[in-house]
Amino acid sequence: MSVTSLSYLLFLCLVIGVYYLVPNRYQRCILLGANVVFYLFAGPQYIIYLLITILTTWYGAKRIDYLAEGYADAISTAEKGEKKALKLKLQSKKKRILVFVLLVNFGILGILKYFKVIFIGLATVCFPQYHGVLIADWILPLGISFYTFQSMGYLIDVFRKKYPPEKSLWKYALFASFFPQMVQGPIGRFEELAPQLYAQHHFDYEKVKFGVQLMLWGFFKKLVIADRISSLTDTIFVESNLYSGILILIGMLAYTIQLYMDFSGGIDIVTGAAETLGISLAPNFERPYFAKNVPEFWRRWHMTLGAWFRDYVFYSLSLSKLFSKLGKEGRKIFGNYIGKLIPVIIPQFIVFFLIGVWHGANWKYCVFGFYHGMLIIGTILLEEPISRLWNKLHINTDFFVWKCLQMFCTFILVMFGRIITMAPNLSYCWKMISSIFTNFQYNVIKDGEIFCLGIDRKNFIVLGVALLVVFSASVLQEKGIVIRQAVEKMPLVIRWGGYLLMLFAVLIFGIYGIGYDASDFVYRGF
Amino acid sequence: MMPQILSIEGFEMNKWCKVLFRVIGFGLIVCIGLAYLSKVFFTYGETYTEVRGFYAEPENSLDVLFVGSSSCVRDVSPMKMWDEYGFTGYSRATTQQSPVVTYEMLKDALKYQQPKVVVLFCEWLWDEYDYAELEAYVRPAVDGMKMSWEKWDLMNYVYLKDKRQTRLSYLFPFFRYHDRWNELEVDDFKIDFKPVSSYNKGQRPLYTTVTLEESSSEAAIEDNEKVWDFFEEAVKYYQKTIDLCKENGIDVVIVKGCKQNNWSIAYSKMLEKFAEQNNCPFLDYNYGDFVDDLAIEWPNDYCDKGHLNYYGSLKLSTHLGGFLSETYGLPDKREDVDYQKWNEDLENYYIHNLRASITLVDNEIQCDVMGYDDIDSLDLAFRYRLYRNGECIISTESLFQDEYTFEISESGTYKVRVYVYDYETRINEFDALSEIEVMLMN
Repeated sequence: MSVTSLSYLLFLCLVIGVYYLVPNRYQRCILLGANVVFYLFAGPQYIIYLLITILTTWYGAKRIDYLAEGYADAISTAEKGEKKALKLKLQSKKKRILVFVLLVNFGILGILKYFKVIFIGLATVCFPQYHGVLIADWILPLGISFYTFQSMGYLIDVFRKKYPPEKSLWKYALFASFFPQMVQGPIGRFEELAPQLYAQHHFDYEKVKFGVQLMLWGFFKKLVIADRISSLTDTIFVESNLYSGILILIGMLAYTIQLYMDFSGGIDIVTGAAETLGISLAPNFERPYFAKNVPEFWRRWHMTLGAWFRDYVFYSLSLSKLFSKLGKEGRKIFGNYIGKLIPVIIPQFIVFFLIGVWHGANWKYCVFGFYHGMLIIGTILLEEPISRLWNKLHINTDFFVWKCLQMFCTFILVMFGRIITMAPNLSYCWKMISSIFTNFQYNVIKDGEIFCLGIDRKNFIVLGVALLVVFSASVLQEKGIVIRQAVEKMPLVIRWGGYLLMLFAVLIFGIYGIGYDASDFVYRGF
Repeated sequence: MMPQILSIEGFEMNKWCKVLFRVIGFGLIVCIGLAYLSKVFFTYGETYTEVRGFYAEPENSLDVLFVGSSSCVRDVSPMKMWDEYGFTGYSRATTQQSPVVTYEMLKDALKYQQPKVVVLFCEWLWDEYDYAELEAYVRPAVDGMKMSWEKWDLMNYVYLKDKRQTRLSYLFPFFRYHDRWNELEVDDFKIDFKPVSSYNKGQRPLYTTVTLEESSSEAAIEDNEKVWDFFEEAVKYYQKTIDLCKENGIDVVIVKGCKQNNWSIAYSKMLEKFAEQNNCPFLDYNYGDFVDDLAIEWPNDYCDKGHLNYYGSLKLSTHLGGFLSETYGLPDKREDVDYQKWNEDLENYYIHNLRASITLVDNEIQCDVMGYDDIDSLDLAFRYRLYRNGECIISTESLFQDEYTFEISESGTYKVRVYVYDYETRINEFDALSEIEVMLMN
């Protein structure tokens, strides 16, 4: 069920009600039951994949820990030379289990997500006469990317002895399948999430209230802004060859905003839902369009995914012996400055390539990853030289206007990256970008064509006001103001007036109901 | 002391009361807001107005109820029956009314009225009703009903048949119509919570006449004997309708309205048999013995091949009213002081169903007001305005005549607007039924 659907809200109300009414010691059972019911709604046949992940990860982690315990005594009592051998043997066995479980789970994810691309690719290579006969896309099980990453993170942490494994299968299943996260994350960490899930929660009115407020905010971003803009972006990008460069540019801008509102709106809804149950999920967005460079953008956008790749891919590669050696060799060849950056640059590139691939089974996503990878590497390589240049030119980089310029440039770079994923394929993407520079035609703004592309004048006004509200809130948050706490200090009448205004704004201006294609969350398909 | 299962651990009683108070208070404000917005955003079409107007009738004041689909809506004039025979009737029919809606609306109606007779038009006996496709017809009918168990049953039924619907959108129609926010005007915010009485008594007449082109394609009533079987679900609910009437001691008359297409003698016979099985009289306005005496003309008395226009409905209703009055001994209440409002409604009915036709004769546009003959109790005055290409070029003073001729000297698109006055008060205005393109050879 979609998180913006009435059935989800009713389901959540029921879960909250039962959760707080039953004796606290049964709350875990209630949550686990809710997770199962939620997942079955998405398609009972897909629960088998979730079960495989839960069972393999739980057992794999236990097995790793069991091995470690089994070897612990032997290692502690062994001679020095024998100790090292035992440790290597233990590490090797643990690695085998780790690799096996990773292969099984990422294998399932890979096959389900990339089967079609791989099949067509192999078939084209092996059978040149094959012209890409259409094969059906497999429907991805709900949240498979998110729960796979979350579970693999847990397993790797146990392997690294960050914490002992969870002994109870049911408690682990609760962590791996927590229903608010299922649709589109955030990707949780065991050490942060599990204690909250396993703890007993008393009804906290303030927390429930804040959770509901956050959900309302998420609905506002998703239904009023993101789904409204989607009419415009769908019109422009479906037949982009019909439109001038300026409209393509506007479409790019619209899509950039739409994606953020859609994704962050959904995250707000699920985070708010979890908060009503007394559970705080990791933040996933921190006003990414206020970033002053691309690396900072990725530290603010889809933070849990970025953190996952950083901790489990980037550091694993960058701190490995292989890259340490590469770094040394690089210093000899390229000099100290670049040489020391090699263990950073290449893993970064690999990480962003994988992030691109994670987004979808299409070459355009690989290019997307490559594009951002190059931007990140460029920033890393040029950071120091450019900093020296500004100092030489006596440019004050703390100046407000300068910061705005940095944000603007970053936004433009990110926006152009979006067109790669928005276009149906790379050749289309190239045509659209060329059109911006070769077929600008700004007069279409004057003659009102913009109001005939899915959003009329009145809807543009609503959109403008809504974006202003979100922007204002973001500016306050950027200055460190916690809005919900500031609102709490206001008189009841003003608070309730604000809540009612926001609620009715969503109900009146929200894009929902019959006649609208329920604009599903963009990231739900992952 | 609250049982363990119902208490919330670690939460004090007075804090709990405070939370409950705030939640209920906020919820009430939201519900009131939604109820108000449901009225504001709702599209008050004619169907809604007529369905809702039923509740403004005094309880147990109606002698006859008419139920069914569009044939009943167009062909039956309860006010004509009042005018001719003095009994009271109301049409609970709506366009494309499904058998389930017929049953539930009648069941709801019987909580307010105890008619002697129910006249049933069984249009949907043969077809499966597509609730998704026909939402535009289902909604106004259901939305017009007052909240009741019958409406709740209908909401559930529609929800089962059309998964796009939600019960919430029937409880608060705002959720269905919220995207009308950019069509709202100031008047939409002024709402009447009480049902407003309707002088049409549920009828929704049309005034147009079948065009020459349509009529020349032959009023094709099929002659072939191949017929479809009854649809089971439809039979079930029409049967329930008849049984409901019998349980309440109400006589049922089954009627087939006038139709010039998609009908045949075979279908009439099926319907006649259905009526016989239920011991109900059957009046067939296509093949009945009395049809020729009605002088219902094709195409002048039809608005399309399946329905009579206003003028045709007066003829049918005269006959049907006579049958009901004689067969069931319906009382004549025209002199009854408790029913004087019906006489006022009758005047309004005829006044507001006045229409005009315009014809081009040589270089003159002749405008004739139709239906004025039925109003003999009032002296009405008319003003006529002639428009050419959207601009008013001639405006007459008030005249006590139901026709006027304009002389024209230029080519253009002409239309006429008629204003109706009772003494100094303007009580109605309408455009003539068509525009005329004039090309003068100078």
